[in-house]
Amino acid sequence: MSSRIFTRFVSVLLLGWTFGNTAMAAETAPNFSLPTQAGTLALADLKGKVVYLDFWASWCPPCRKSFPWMNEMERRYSRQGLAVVAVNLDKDQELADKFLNEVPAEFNVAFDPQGTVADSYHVPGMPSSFIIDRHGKIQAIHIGFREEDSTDLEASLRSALSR
Amino acid sequence: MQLEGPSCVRAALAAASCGLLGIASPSVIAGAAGDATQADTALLYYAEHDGRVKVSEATARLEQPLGDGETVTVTPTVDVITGASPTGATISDQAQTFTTTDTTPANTLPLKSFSDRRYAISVDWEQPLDRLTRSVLGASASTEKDYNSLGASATLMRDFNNKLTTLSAGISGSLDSVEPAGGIVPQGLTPLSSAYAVASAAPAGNSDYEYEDSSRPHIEDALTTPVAASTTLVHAITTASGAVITTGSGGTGTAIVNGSIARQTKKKESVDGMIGLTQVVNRRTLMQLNYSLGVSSGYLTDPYKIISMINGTSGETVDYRTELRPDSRLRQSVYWKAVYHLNEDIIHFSYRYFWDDWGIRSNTVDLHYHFVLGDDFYVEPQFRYYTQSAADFYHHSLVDGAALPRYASADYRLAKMKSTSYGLKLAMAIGKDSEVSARVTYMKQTGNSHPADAIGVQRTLDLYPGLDALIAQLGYSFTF
Amino acid sequence: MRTLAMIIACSALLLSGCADVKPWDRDLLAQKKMQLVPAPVDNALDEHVYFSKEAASGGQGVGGGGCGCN
Repeated sequence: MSSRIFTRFVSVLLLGWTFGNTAMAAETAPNFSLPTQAGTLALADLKGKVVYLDFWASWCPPCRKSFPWMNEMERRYSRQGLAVVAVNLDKDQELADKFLNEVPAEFNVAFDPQGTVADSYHVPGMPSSFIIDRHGKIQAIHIGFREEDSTDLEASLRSALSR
Repeated sequence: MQLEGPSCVRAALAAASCGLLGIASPSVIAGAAGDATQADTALLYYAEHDGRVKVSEATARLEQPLGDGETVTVTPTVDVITGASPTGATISDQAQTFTTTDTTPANTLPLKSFSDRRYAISVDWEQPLDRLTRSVLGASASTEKDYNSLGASATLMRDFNNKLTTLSAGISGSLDSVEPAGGIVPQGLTPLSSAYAVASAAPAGNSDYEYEDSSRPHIEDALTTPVAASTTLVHAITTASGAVITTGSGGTGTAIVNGSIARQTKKKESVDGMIGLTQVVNRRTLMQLNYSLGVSSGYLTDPYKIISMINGTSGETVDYRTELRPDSRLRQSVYWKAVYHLNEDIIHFSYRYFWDDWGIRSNTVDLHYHFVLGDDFYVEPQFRYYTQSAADFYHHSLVDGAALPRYASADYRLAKMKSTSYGLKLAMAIGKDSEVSARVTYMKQTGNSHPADAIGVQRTLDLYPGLDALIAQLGYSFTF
Repeated sequence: MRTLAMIIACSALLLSGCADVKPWDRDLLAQKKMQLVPAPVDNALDEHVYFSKEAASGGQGVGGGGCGCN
């Protein structure tokens, strides 16, 4: 009797939460306007480019790993129309600045301390990246950053850039 | 697991393996910076009052990320244990003689001295199976003079609810072997004078080998030293390896050994399982709830401990018997932990309720307050309160002549007792990745000094002398 | 049986009172001092002492909490 209740409890848990947040693939990427290190940046300004939109924070270790890769992507593909935008979600600007001192970014870094833009994108995890095509539609959503995924990510970028 | 002298044997009552069920590396959580190895080292000094147990311990925890969440953690440990621990015999108003070389003055707690070294190592390998699932496989081994242990564990963790909830399930097993100093495992609940009879595996000759004089219950002593005239060696023994002990009776006899004699060992097995639920309650609060179940079987008795037989009227000690515990134990516990983030400071609080089929019920409350004092410095007062009920077969002494219980032990760690610990940790960050820390803890154990069933002179004695211990620890963490 | 009911009740309580914490709001939870076992070596040393001096042992768990990254 008690083992049945327990099994049911565990199954409810599993069913209820196995399917995490649904992503926003193929929807129009919500516009935003955020301060950056060099003035304000709006997503609408980047229409016609492929945007790699990354959400990160200083306290997120995989984010630290993703920066060198994002720098590399910016170097390789900016001429082909890639814009890398990394939205920082630190509540304390100082922590973000400290991180950027240690791990420099060659791409746009925008600041969203209240998390409003992250909210509009239903960011499912830290870090999360959205590949937005030249027409402003979300082509792919990637949760987390792992070395082994970087080749696939790059392939998705190239595919978006070729359209 | 020795802090109590010849080893893990002491921990025969703590049936969990000497390697705990996978306390997984926190790499999954806080994440090691890059690929650097994280090293946490510590030196510990533990000292009990009144010349009792002293332990010096050195340990290092080395955590190496292997990329993409995979981690290997290796933890070697060395302990040096010296001092003396209670034998289980009660204090008496008379001087006590246990063997010709082992005596205790009046009104003194009978102790037994020892010295041992323990080497242990554990390895944990954590592997992400997919974005939401991780497994940890662990193995551990430890060795000391009279105790060896091998253990393995496997744990699975799965995240739900956008990683706000984590379910974990783990199982671990261990195989331990006890080889008491002296080479003989005594018979349980048997008077000391006859507890050390040795049975030979060889068929030839007589098979029992007894001492009249219990001052020499050790195989080596018997075999290399001429025994005194007053000693009567009753039988001869031919061992499996062909060694022959010649005997005499009522006169001089010399024991001769050719070759070696197998020392007696006893085995013990444990299997433990655990299920846990970790939940992020809000931005500042994290909680965990675990249920554990463990089963131990085999030799769970402490071969060094004895119990006093007292006169039913006067309360004076008249004899001693070896202790005996059941050969199985079923343990369960429920553990709840909460971590709360104030403005800068953190509170860690936990409660554990433990119960087993030996009749023990215990409550443990643990509180740490992490006090941030500036960017590089913190202070952490720590408090722990523990209570336990006595094991069903715990007796401070037995009445001589009364019917013997099936099991009996006078080990103070199975008695009804309370333990309070007060600690303080100070830590300082050095640079970005290093920390140096110092921690001091005072632990006090008290029990029932004047139980209701104390007889005669026992009423005037303190039957649970308790324990006072000071623990000092130095820690250094760094990455390389 | 009663114990199991207690565990389920506690779990339900635990889960029902929970806020939905956004992934980017896990900054505090990411800190080392906020982990369930912030100092594993201290914890192991303590457990060793208490396990050797008391009848009860174990109970602590693994995993969960933290920044929830990746």
